[in-house]
Amino acid sequence: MTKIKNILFYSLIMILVFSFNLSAGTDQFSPDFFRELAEVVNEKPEIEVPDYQLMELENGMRFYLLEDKSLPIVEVRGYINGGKINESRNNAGITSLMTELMLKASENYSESEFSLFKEINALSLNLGAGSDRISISGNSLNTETEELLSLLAEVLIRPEFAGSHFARTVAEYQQLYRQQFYNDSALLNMHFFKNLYGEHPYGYNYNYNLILEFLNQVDSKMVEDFYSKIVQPERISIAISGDFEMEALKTRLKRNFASWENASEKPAESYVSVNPKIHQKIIVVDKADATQANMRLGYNFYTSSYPKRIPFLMANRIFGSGGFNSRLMENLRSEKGYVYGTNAQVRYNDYGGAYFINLSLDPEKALAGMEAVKEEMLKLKTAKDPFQEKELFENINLYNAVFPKAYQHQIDVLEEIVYQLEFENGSKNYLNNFIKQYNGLEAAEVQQIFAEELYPEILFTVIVGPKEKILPQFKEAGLEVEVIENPVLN
Amino acid sequence: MKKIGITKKSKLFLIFMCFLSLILFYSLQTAAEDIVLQEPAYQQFELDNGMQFMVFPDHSIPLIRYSIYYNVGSIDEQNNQTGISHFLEHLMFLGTENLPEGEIDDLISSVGGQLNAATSFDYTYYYHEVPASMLELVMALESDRMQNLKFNDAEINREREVIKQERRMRTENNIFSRGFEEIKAHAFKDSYLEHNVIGWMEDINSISPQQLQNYYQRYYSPNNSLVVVSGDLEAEMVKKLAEEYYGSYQAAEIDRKEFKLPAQLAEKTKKVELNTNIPYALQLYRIPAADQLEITALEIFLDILANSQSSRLKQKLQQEAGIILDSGAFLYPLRTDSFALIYFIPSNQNLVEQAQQAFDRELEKIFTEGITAQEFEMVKKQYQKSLIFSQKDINSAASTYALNELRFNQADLIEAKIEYINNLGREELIRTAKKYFSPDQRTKGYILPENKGGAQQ
Repeated sequence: MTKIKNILFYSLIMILVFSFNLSAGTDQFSPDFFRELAEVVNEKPEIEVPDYQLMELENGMRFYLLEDKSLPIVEVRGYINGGKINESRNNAGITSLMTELMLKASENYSESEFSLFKEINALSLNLGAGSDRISISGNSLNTETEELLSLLAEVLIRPEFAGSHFARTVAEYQQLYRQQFYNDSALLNMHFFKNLYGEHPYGYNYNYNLILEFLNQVDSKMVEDFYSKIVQPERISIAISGDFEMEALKTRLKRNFASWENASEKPAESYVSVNPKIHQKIIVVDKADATQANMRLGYNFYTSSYPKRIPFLMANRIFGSGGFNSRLMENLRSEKGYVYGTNAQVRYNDYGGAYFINLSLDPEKALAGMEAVKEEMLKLKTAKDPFQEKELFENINLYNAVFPKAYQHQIDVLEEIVYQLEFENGSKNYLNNFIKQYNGLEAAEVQQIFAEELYPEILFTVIVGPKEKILPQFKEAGLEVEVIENPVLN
Repeated sequence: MKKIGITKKSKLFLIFMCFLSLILFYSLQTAAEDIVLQEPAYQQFELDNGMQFMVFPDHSIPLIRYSIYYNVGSIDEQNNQTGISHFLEHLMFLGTENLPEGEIDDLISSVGGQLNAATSFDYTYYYHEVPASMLELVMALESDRMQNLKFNDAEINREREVIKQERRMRTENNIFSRGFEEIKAHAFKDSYLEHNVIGWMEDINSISPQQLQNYYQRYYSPNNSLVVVSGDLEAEMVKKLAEEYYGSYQAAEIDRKEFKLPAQLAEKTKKVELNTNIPYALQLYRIPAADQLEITALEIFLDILANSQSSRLKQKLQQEAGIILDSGAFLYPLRTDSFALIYFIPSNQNLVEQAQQAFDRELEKIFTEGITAQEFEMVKKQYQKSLIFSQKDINSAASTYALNELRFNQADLIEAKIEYINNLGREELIRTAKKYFSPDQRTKGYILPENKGGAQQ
């Protein structure tokens, strides 16, 4: 009997202990409990610089090659050094049209043969028309490496601009650009950037009227001439990573690209001029059917050679480009409930950048939203509420955590190396230098640099939305507003 | 008598035929190649309260992704409470009885992590991407907000404004989304598919804190959830912490409504006039639940019809006839019967009818004449390629397995689908497509430029 009692007693104890253990976690929930669990300082990561090979052809075309047998695939990333920067008032939009046509047909393949060749071999190949460069990206299974390179050569060396696909593509582009006048985000882009960049190719590219004028008179010869100036082997650098044999790949690359010759003409490039007339200006683009005010506030900013990019990046993350707990999100979403999202962005270009804040909100709260943004800027500008070490630490800690993921694959590291070596005068150890630099930052330094570059007093503002709901609040506040009637809409 | 022999021309012909046979043989060999799936290694377990866990170890980087799926989405909502699943998702970030508002974001940020959430038609999920050592933190945070969510009227009303702005931004001021919302509502009137995830504005305005709390208590229970953890960890640690943080929670009875789409007896049409220059043509069809293997045949069919660069619509209607600007198609596979969307963009308003007729002809042609072996092989090859590329990211495979588990308790459904494709013949593919893409089961929807009295371009 005593034995049974003992068994029961100890069983009861065991049940109680077990129950306690089961509920221990959930019963002790409290802010302190969670904070204790959250104590971690992530190690400074180190990105391994891969052992790539550089092959330069006699025509100046450069290939960064890296074997990676982890999957039976081949990936290509690269750049053509040129793009929208080389456009003029008379051919605004030609870079996008040219890249679209390059992917449609070649001297050896009609449009339908071209798409069939791609799909029968499961090839992917794309070009992206950027401000200063055209990006190249593609991939295939390793069994189709030859076909991928052959397709790349067709696209880069032998595009066919003349033919039925030309007129059809131009007509498609005309419709797509006409549609921009019905889209509030596109209207915001147009009126913000064409004013900010003014008489500069970066600005022409957002001027849809200018682009439509060009599309109305473009012929295939104009596109071919532009192509001949921009797409030249000496302006191209390509990273290739994947499951291939190095020497065999080099042979294939030479066979495909070595006989391609450079043209003699070099395209012109120029810097953006800042136009002080837009400082403090507010433009409302009337879009009567919109149920929100889509807004952007900003000013001209440095080129991509700005030396304080890394501290500014971290500062801007705290201010507005980070997640839910950035200062702008805290103020405009968590405290006031004005926005679903807001973000502050830097756009670096080779010949002039931009800094701006985006938000969309109820049209009747447009002015309040604008003032809330300025209020947050002023808190930093005047150091009334300077950056705290904790805020900087969180962002450094985040970068240390996510860097290994961002550069988990060899092709991503190799692409960054190509970009740094070819266009930024950087080193192949750029990523590790970058990590070292942001890890060495202190809040006071970041605060000072950010405050120096914040100019709430010159913000240029564009708002797209229904003027009937937007204008009264500005009128009441005595603020001057230029109203643009959208001709397509009204 | 004429001498019978082999002339030079015949020799060339024979050589040509041999060459052709070789190519044909090689093509058939290629065609016969089966799609192969590299199954990720994972472990699965269930707590006594019915809560499910899946663990996908991958030690390549020191991060983990912790996702919790709740088996509830917009299809579960009542008529006057549309958008409540998504509303509740927003509230899950506003704090609990144990943790003030904003603290979840702050804690995850402080460890260098990221978090977010998404609501779908048939599930809601929350995820954290954090350093591997932070497993216990995210497990505890999710455990806390599964049971102890705070419902504060002022905070709920402020968040209501955020959600209304999200609706304005994503739906009302996007021409396609706005038109699609109306057309889908017409196609699936009086059914669980009538409204979108974001819900109708009048319901967002009227959903009460009490309704939100009831909804939370009804669906946010351990037996209605699935946790998926992938990354730099082992299943044993997840098991231990799962018992600790979820083991004491009680299972709840989930009372689901009946999911049955009303019968459609004839084709429907809906025209929506909006402030647009480009018209859009949408074709909506009913499809079966995502565990039906026929879904895979429909996916392949839609690639051949509308998605591939060399698809029938892009070749015939865009490249040759120039009457559309683009085409595409999507399936929305759910745990219930759902819908497929095929769209094309007529080149201008005057070509809408012509483009619709051309679409109907292409569909009929493919039904009567079938697809070519080449078309079938191209899509299968692309499918194989996608499977191989998906191995670059363990999270991608994990989410596929998780959704199949959540919806059907069948994590490895993809294996059955691949076997189905490998055994699928072209005739069967067409039979399946005909079964679901028939005119009487279709809703034709048009987003058209508002008539302003002038010619549209």
